[in-house]
Amino acid sequence: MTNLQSILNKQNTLSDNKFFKLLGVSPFGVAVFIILALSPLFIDDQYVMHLLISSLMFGALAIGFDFTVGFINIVNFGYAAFMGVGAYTSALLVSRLDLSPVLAMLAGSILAAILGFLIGLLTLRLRGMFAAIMAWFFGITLMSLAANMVDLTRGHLGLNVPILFPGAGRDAYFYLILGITAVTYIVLRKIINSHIGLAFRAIGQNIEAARSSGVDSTKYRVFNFTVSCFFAGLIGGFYAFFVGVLTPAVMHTRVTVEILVLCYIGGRGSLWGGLLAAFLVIPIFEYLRPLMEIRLIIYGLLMILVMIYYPGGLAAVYAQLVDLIRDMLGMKSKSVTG
Amino acid sequence: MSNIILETKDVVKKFGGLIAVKNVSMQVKEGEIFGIIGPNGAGKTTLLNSVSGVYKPEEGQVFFKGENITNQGAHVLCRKGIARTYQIVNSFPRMTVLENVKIGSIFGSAIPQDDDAKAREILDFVGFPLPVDTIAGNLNTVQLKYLELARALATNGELLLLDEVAAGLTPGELTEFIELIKRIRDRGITVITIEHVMKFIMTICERIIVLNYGEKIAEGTPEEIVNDKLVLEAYLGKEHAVEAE
Repeated sequence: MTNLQSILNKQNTLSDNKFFKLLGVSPFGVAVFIILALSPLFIDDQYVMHLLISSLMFGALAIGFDFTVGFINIVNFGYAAFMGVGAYTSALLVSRLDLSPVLAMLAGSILAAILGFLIGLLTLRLRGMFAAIMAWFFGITLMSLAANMVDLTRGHLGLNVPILFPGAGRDAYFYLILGITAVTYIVLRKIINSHIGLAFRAIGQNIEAARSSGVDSTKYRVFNFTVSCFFAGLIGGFYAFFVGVLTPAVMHTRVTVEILVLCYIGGRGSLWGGLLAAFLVIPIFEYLRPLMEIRLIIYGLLMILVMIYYPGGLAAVYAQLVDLIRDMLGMKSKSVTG
Repeated sequence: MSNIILETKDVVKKFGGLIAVKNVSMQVKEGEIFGIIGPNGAGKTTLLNSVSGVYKPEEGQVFFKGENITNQGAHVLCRKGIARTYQIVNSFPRMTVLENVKIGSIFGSAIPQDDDAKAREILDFVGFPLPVDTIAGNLNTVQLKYLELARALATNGELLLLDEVAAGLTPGELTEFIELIKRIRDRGITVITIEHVMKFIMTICERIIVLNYGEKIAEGTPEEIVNDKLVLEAYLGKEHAVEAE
């Protein structure tokens, strides 16, 4: 017991450390990151590596999605389409123009960000539900474009994407997506912990009160969409190189819904919850391949169950657990020990 | 002695075919407590919304400290110095009390202030009774009224618009609120208040306008208003008004 107590104490002292404050991460988060970073040394199974990569990728997407839904409270139903924009842009730039993959992925994210800026402007005057529907139609339009611009994208035949790391195994992809996930999390966390994040939460919780307290809702909403879509585009670029063949299906609403479910299970407004949920949900579904056909139904049921019984998701469960342990150890609140 | 802080000139606000506010002109002097009364649906809140940038009036102008502010957005006006509270109390339910107040001081003030001490000072000033880390969603209506007032004050506004703050208060709470509004005025803040609670309005307002069906039907001191025939008619109906005389 005392051992645990000292660990918790240490965690609290460490949390106040400059390094962790600067990155906006907890010592626990860094520990998980290090374990993940070392995992390829111990895992030989390529299939397991594949699962880890998928989980990280969907987890990173969920982080970017939560940045919008968890804070300004708008569901971006077109999210997967922005990811697709990043995927197609970087794939085409590499295969047609021979651009370096890094630059191509950056270009893809910037284009997705520009489109995110546009959808932000389009939905500006709309309240939650209508903004979600608008974003959805925007996403469907983008997907139709990808399907119909056959000369460029080869439509449903699928676009072959050049191999990113010839000769290398899954490990290279793993470290790339681990890096992308870490950058995504740290950047978004920094924004959320700043005044901008406070404005996001104000807008998401009560837009009228936010406006009459001086929050420029227009500016912050557009900014939020732009940033969220930038990261969707970046991860989309990774997706293209990882999967190797792109079809318009990647932009389907179904993909958005899968990310949304991860977000809700993980706990809206936590940023990291969706990442944790991805590590639990995605491997389970991979192992239950026969269930793939009814996957969306299970997703829907899971989401409803979470919304009814655990509206705070895994993040809330974690917080309760930490509180429980603190109580059991008879510890006071964090501020006392830190 | 007194400068005009807020002036409306023939403000008209329509909703479809309904004219909610009809050619209302008023002048509010710096440092006074100014009341707007009238029966339900008279257009009081609509007038306040047209002043604070929530609605854009179809006709007429609004001037704040001499500047034409008609059609400017709520967040811009807030930074210029117009703070307000709502009839149905507004808060950020998943934030702490302190964060609620800091939203006002960070975003609503002309010079952004990110200062916990300042926010605490304002909460003390309004007499907020609970710890500052209480989640706003757990507060009752009266506590939310204090919180909303604190948030509005945190914006450092010069003009405070109150929409029915006294509704639903017990007599004891009402007395406290009256004292608080006076202390706010003594800080140099001009107050415009919409109210149904007559004790409140008659005790603290220096001047009052009366709206009925969107039109201004009377203006004056509380004594003048209670003796105004048109006002009695609007509240009691023509026949009873005659009896009352």
